[in-house]
Order: sequence, then C-alpha cells, then structure tokens
Amino acid sequence: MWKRMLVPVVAIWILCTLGGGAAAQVLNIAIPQDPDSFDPIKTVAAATSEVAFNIYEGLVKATPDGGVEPALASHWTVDEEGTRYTFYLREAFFHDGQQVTVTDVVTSLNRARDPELAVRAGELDMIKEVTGLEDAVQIELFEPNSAFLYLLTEIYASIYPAGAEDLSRKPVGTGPYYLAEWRPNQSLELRRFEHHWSGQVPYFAQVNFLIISDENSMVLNLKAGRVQLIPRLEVSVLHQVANSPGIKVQASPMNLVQLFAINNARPPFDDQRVRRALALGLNREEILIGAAWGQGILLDSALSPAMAGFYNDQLGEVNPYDPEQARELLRAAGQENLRFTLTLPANYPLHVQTGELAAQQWERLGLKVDLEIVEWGTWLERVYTQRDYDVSIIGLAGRLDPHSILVRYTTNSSRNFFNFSNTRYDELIELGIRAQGEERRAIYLEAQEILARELPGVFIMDPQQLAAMDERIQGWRSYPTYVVDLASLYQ
Amino acid sequence: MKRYLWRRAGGFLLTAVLVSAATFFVLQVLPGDPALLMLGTEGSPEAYARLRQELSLDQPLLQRYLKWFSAFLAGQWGNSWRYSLPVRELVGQAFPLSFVLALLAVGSAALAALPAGMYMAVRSDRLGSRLLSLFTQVGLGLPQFWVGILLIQFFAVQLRLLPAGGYDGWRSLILPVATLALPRTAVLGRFLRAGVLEVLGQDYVRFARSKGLSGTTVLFKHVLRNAALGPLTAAGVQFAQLVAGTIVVEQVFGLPGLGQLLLNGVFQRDLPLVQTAVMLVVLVILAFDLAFDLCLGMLDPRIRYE
Amino acid sequence: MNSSQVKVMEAVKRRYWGLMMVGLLLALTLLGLFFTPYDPNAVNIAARFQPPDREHLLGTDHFGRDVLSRILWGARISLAVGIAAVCLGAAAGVFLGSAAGFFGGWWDELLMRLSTALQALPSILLALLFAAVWSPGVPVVLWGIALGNIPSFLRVTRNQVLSIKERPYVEAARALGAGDLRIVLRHIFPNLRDALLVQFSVSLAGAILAEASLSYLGVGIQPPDPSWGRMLREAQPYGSLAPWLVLVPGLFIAFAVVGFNLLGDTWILGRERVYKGE
Repeated sequence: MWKRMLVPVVAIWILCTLGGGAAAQVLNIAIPQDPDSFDPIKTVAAATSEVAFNIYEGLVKATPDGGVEPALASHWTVDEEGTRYTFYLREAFFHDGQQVTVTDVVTSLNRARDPELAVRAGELDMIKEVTGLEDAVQIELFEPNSAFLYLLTEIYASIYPAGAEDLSRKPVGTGPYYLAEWRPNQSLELRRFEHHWSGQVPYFAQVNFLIISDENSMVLNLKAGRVQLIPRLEVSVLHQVANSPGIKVQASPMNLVQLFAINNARPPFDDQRVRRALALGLNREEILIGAAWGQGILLDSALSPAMAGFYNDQLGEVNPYDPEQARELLRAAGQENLRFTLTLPANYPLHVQTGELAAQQWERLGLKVDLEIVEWGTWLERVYTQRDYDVSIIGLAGRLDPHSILVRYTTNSSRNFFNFSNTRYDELIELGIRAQGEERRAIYLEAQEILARELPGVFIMDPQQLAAMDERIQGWRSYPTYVVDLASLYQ
Repeated sequence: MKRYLWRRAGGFLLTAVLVSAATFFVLQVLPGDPALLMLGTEGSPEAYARLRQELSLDQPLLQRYLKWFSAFLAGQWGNSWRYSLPVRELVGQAFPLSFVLALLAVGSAALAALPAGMYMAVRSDRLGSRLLSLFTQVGLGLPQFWVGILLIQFFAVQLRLLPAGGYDGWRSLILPVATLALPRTAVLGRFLRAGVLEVLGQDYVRFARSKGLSGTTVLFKHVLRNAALGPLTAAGVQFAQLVAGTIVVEQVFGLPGLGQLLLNGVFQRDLPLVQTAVMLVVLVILAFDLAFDLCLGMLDPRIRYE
Repeated sequence: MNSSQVKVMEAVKRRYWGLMMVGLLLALTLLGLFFTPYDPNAVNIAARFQPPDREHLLGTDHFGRDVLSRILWGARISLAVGIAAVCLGAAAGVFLGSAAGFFGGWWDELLMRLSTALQALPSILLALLFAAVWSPGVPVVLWGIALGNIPSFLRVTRNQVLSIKERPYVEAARALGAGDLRIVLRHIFPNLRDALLVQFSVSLAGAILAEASLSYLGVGIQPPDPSWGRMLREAQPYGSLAPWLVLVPGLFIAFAVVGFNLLGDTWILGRERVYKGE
C-alpha cells in the first residue's frame, strides 16, 4: 500500500516544481462538476453535454439562435408525407482517422433508440426504421413529427465509429476538439482536431476544463488569471467581477424555466383557488432582485422568451402580485391557516434563495411555510420520481423544440411530477406534434395559456446565463441549450 | 513487548472490520436511490430497473457486504457509479494530495509548537510568553473554515500573493497547510508547555541543576524527553480531528483531495467511492493510532502492562 | 516562583476570563430568547448590505435582515445544539465508561474496542454519513456530535473509575461490606464530577466548532433559521462587498469556543487543588 502511494506523492512534488509556464493558445475554463460519462447514450448530466458538444457531432447540430444546421449530413430531404427523411453524408473523419461511413451512422442511431442500451431511448421512439443507402441514411418515422429534427441535435444522437469501445471514458467523435486526458474531479484536457470536415481549425490548440466546485474559488481563479472563462457564473458572485479590470461578463437568457412546482394531486393544492393564491401572493420582482440580482426575465409561461416564435407574451396580467385577492381566495377555499412544506434542492443556491424569499412572502398572507432543503439525490427520488411533496422549486432546462418542453405537463407523461391533468391541454399537445407553421404556433399559444390559468406550478423567471471571461477572449456564442462552443472562441 | 504488539495489531484489525461493517450498513439504508441518481431527470423505468440489477442493488445486504469486503481486501475497489471509473484510480489521484496536506500540517505544527511551547514554559512571566499563550488559546477557538476564508481574502484577494483555490502547484498548499496547522500548533504548544512545566518541578531536574549542568543541557537532555510524552499522546488523539479538518479545509480551498471526493460521493450516493474513501481514512487514522501506541509503549513501560 | 505556583496564578486569572466570557454568552443568548432589535427572519430587499450603523449595529445581510438580531437568535441554536449533543454523548459515555471501569474484564475489552472504532470516525465524518441517510438538518448534527463525543467521556470515566477503585478508602469501604451500587454512588461518582466537568466544557467548545463546520458544509442548520456557521456559509460570496457579514459570526464562534475552553481550564485547577490538598 505505502509503496504504491509513494509514487504519486513523489510525482506530485515533481509536478509542483515543473508546474506553471503555460504555452500559448491554451484556454482554461472553470466548470463546477465532472461529466458523468462520455458515452452519448449513457449520459444524463448537463455538465457532460456542455463539454461533449465540442467532441461529438450528429447528422445536424444546433445553432445559437435555436435553429438546426447541417453537420455530418451536408443536406437532407423530407418526403411529402413528412415521415421519410434522407440525410446525405459529407466526407468527414473521426478523431482516430477513420472516415465516417453509413454503417457508423446507422449503428449509432440504432444504439441510441434501443431501450435495452440507451437511457433516453424513449425520446426517439417516433423512429420506425433507420436504413443505410449508398451515401445517405434514410430514417422513417411512424407519423410526421415536428420535433424530430431538433432531437437529432441532442447528445444521444451523436455519431461515433461503429466498433468503438469504452466510449464513456474515451470518446471518439468528429467534433472540432478531442479529449486528450481526463483527471476526474480535477480537469479535462481537450486538444483541437486538425482534420475537421469543415476544413477550419479552432484558434485555441488546447482547452482545459478545470473542475472547481466552489463559485468563490472560480471567481478568484479568474481574477488571478489561472482561468480565462467561466461559462456559468453564479449570480451571487457577479458583484465580485462586475467592475474588475480586464474581465467582462456577457449575459444571455438561459432558456431555463425556473418555477414553483405544486403537487396538484395533494389537497388542498388540488383546488385551483389555493394554487392561484400562492401565485398572487408572490412578489416576483422582489425575488428577481433579492435572489437573482435582477439578472433574469420574469416568466408568465412554461416557455422562455428565448423560444421566440412560440412564446406567449400575452400572459402578463393573468397572475399579478395581489396579496389582497390571494387572501380572499384562501378564505374562499377555507385555507387561511394553511401550513405546508417547501422542498428545495440544496445544490442550487438560486432556488434556495428564491425559496427563502417566497416563504417570507407567503407567510405575510398568514400561511405557515416549512423550508426543507434536500440533497439533489433525495430531491430526484422524493419530489421528481415519487412525487411526494407539497411545493418545490426547480429549473427545467430548455430544449430547441416547444413540444419537448410542453409534453411534460400532459396527464400521462412520466416527467409530469406536478400530477397536473387537463383534458384540453392533452389534446392540444397531441395535435401540436403533427401540426405545422402558424397552426402549430396557435396550438402552443393556447396550451401556454391553459398552464398560466390552471397553474401546475407558478412560473418565476428565466435566469440570465452569465459568462465571465478575460476581456481578450472574443467570439463567445450563447446557445439556448447547455453547451460551450469552443470552436468559435479566439483571442 | 511481543504480546503487547500482537494484542494491539489484533485490535487494529478488529476495529477496522467493525468500522467497515458499520459504514457499509449505514450507507445501505440511504433513502436516495443511486440508480435513480445516475439517471437524473430524464431516465425511463426500464433503464432504471436494468441499472439496479447491474449495480446488484437487488441482492441481500449481507451478501453484498461480504462480496464487497473480500473484494476490498483483494484491492478490487470496483467502479465509481458517478464517474464510471475505477475507484482505485479516483482515490489514487486524490489520496496523495490529502496525505501530503495532512502530513505537512502536522509537520509544520510540530516545528512551530516546539519552540513556542518551550518558550512559554521556561519564560512564563515574559510578555511575549503571555501573548503566545493567548494566541494558542485563541488559535484553538477559531473555526478553521473561517480562518481559511480570511486568509484567502487577505493573501489571495487583497495582496494577490498566493492562489485562491484549486490545485496549481505547491503554492496552492501554503494557505491550506497554514489553516490546518494553526489549531494543531496551539494544542501541541500547550501540551508541551504543560509537560515542560511539570517536569521542571521534578526533583531530578532540580538535582541536575544543582549538579551544575547548564540550563540548556538540562532542558534538552532531561526535560524535553520526559515532557514530550504529553504532546505525543495529544498528537495521536489529534489524527481524527486532523482528518475532519482536512475535509473542511479542502472544501474551503477547492482542493481535489480525498475529502472533496468523499463529500461529493456522500452527496451523490456513490457507494463504492464513499465506502473506499471512508475505509482508507479510517485505516490511516487507525494505523497512526497503532504506531503511536507502540511508540508510547516503548517510551513508557507502564503502558505496556496496563 | 515554582511551576505549580505559576499554574495556579494563571489559572486563577483564567478562571475569571472563562466565567466572564461564558456568562456574557449565556446572558446574550437569554436576551435573544425574549428580545431582538428586529425580526431575525424579516426580509427587506431595499435595505440589503447596510454597513453597521446606529440603526443596524452589526449591519444587514444579503436579504436586508438585521445581523445583530440573527446573531442573538442564532446563539440559541448554536448553543442548544452543542449542549444537547454533548449531554447525549456524555450520558452514554459515562454509563458505558463506568461499566467498563467497574466490571473490567471482557466488558472493558469490548467497550474499549467499540470506543476505538468510534474514535476513528470523527464527528464531522459521522454527521456527513447521517446527512446522506436522513436529510441535512439539526438531527444529523446532533447525532453526529453526540456519537463523536462518546469515546472521550467513556475513556475519562473509565480511567477515573479505575484509579478511584484502587484508592484506599474505596477498598476500605469494600472491606466494610459496602455493595457495588453503594460504592459507585457514594465514592466513585463524586470523584468523577470534576473530571467530567472539564471534559464537558472542552467537548462543548468542540461541539460548537463542529456545528459551525457542518453548517458551513451545508449539512447542518437549514434556513431560514440562522446558526453562526450557517450565517458564515451564506456570507462567503459577499466577503469583499460586506466584510462584516464574514467577520461577525466568526468572532462570535471564536468567543464562545475560547470561553468554554478557559472554563475547562478552571476546573482542571479545581481538580488539582483537590488532589494536592491545597
């Protein structure tokens, strides 16, 4: 045992003396958590897709404005019924030098929709068959699906060599960067891929993701120059960098819906008047300033304004701050002395602070709120899976297509931890997936209005994503999904 | 002496087994389901059931414990659930840092405590000695994480002399070692002072002095040797405290050591990781205890026949 | 001046410090029970990060809550948790320790073995494990610190019992036909008292520190209730913006711990006097 330990100890000392002296064109980025697994069909952590976005690519990929652009497929066609997609492959190479073949694409996609293997296989269950042609891949759907193309940008639809092994630790993709070394709990080292199909070579030759769990150390490291970019700065430390020379902060909507989830199946919250009283009793302005330092956009809908084209901006007056009416509603429902538990996930300071403020505001209505702060694992098990809670706060991550977001409020969705149920709403979501253009938009506007009036929960805000960086860093692009685009950065 | 050694070694093993069983069973009744945790908010029920089986969560407890314990002894520590990496690799990277941190803290505490303790005992009426005494008293009372935060504010933020957090070469260890060493220095210094004062009052020291031996000779040859017993015992007892302190200090300074790995593991319910980390921590504490007991046994025969 | 005289002099001085500090602390805590300048949990976003002034003697925090009120309120929680945990640990430790010391033999062997095992798991590690089992909060801290304190009380009790058992007057009592129970009650417990008071004081200082550390790590006291450690955790991001938020709770923790440590020293002196017949 001791002999084995001696080697790393000595190694550390040698490293210590050799350390420092970074080469040119190296970028250091601070992230709070390790990725879970680099196998695209196994990963569920947002922290993974943030890094893996630069390593893997799909047939298509997401653009900063929420669109879809060609990636490994140079172009594609859809038949008239809208059920048969044909993707034409371009000449592209994997990090290991092999050329991307039709077989690789078919194997990757079939693996992704295999419920025996893939964690999120259910999301691709609209696919009937994937067939390889000579230089193209044909995907046949059971019925037309407007969300389909967007799903192909998700990490699970990434393309990797058909025979790849141990992807979880040694990812092989076609992206502009490849993973050179991974020291769990410490850092990930990415190096640029010289043979990307686009012919372009990113500016930074090496990018290190440093795992720094504490937001204060992150900022101090940025100030000290050890880190040049913090993609997601906690808002509570924003003031520490706000006026620092040499550091700039770029804010953009996160496309995250922060909300109070209410357990609609548990009395007295099955009474819409009680849910509405909670909504009217909230002073969200105060929450926006007190918990988020004003860095966010108040939401009245289940979609973020970042979902331009689908966002319903007419809902502002549905649930105004009106404590008087809130008290009346509670009286009418016979719940003036209601006492309930507000369950908060400990690892999200924004949600915890929001909860502290909301509890104070509700207590002013005469209610009694018990705060219960639980670890993320407990939250997932109790609140999300067993649906054993009164009220909770969570941020629901944005997707590119509204259907993926709104489907969670349908009665039979496994992700409907609100226990929300509304027949008209279920119908609309069924219709929405098949509809196109203006018709589809109208359907989703109505669906959002139902949510605002029936209140599966109370929507709070879309917090700003704050990217803090050395002011010499240029080319930062914010996405409506959880990624950091390394290839666009330069200095 | 041989019998004493065997008895202690046997006790060491027994204690290790007791602690391992206790930790394993405590961790098995966690409400958080690790399979669920791995899947996050997007998992399906089928994937969940399969993962549970893969992790052998559906087997009886005792069977899982025995399996795990024999594997642990064989050095097969399994894969971390959170990282899908061998635990041995994770721990292998984190352990040396924590170990070096703890060792440096004890070392510098001992180095600082020796002159401080002697000075406080021999020149107990001087102002400097009183100040030192006050300092050790206060040093015992300061919360370590608070000292760490203040040191970061002063040396890293204001003066920008040292790194604020994370591991980036030996300079990253200066502030954490100072933070960890402070209460250790205070404790050792006070014990040493008490020990020296006690011995100075003994007849044989007065006798040695009256023989005409110089003050320093008496101090180092007679007094220190006998006075060291107290601080040594104290140092032994301190190891558990030191390890607890390391967990907190690693968190304050964002050091990727065993403490942080363990804390993450506890929050993530990463059972193989937590088990191994706790076992290692406990083994280190017990090994130090054993070593100290044996040392004391050699220094002071009375203990052997207790 | 010889060494024991030095000790006595110092201890006499320290006694007053320890008593004064702990007294002041208890007085503040009592005051906090009945009176705080403001509602300690009342949010006032407009008045956040106010530096100390006449209206808010110790300033306000990130939600505009009055720091002095929260310190007074939090004193109750920090002290209550510490005292309750040490009492639990002491009760168990004294019970098991007297059993070990009095019966000896394999009882002693078994209990000491368990105690060593427990000693290898510091309070903080225990509480972390519990925090994963239950959710974070007061019970986790309470049980972690209580269990962590059993070994030291067990050892102190056992050693005292062992040494007292051999004393001539106990042997005399036994020879006169006194039963086990009578010996324990009449002769052993009174002698134990001083040693236990010292241990209690020192353990309490340690418990206050442990509670603060655990609340800082996020497994201790939960909001909105303030404990001193919790206040530090919440203040950490604002250290450069509002230094008083970091300084004040830390100073109070240090004050309490030093106070209880000094009080422990006082009792050490008391014990020495008894032994030396001064």
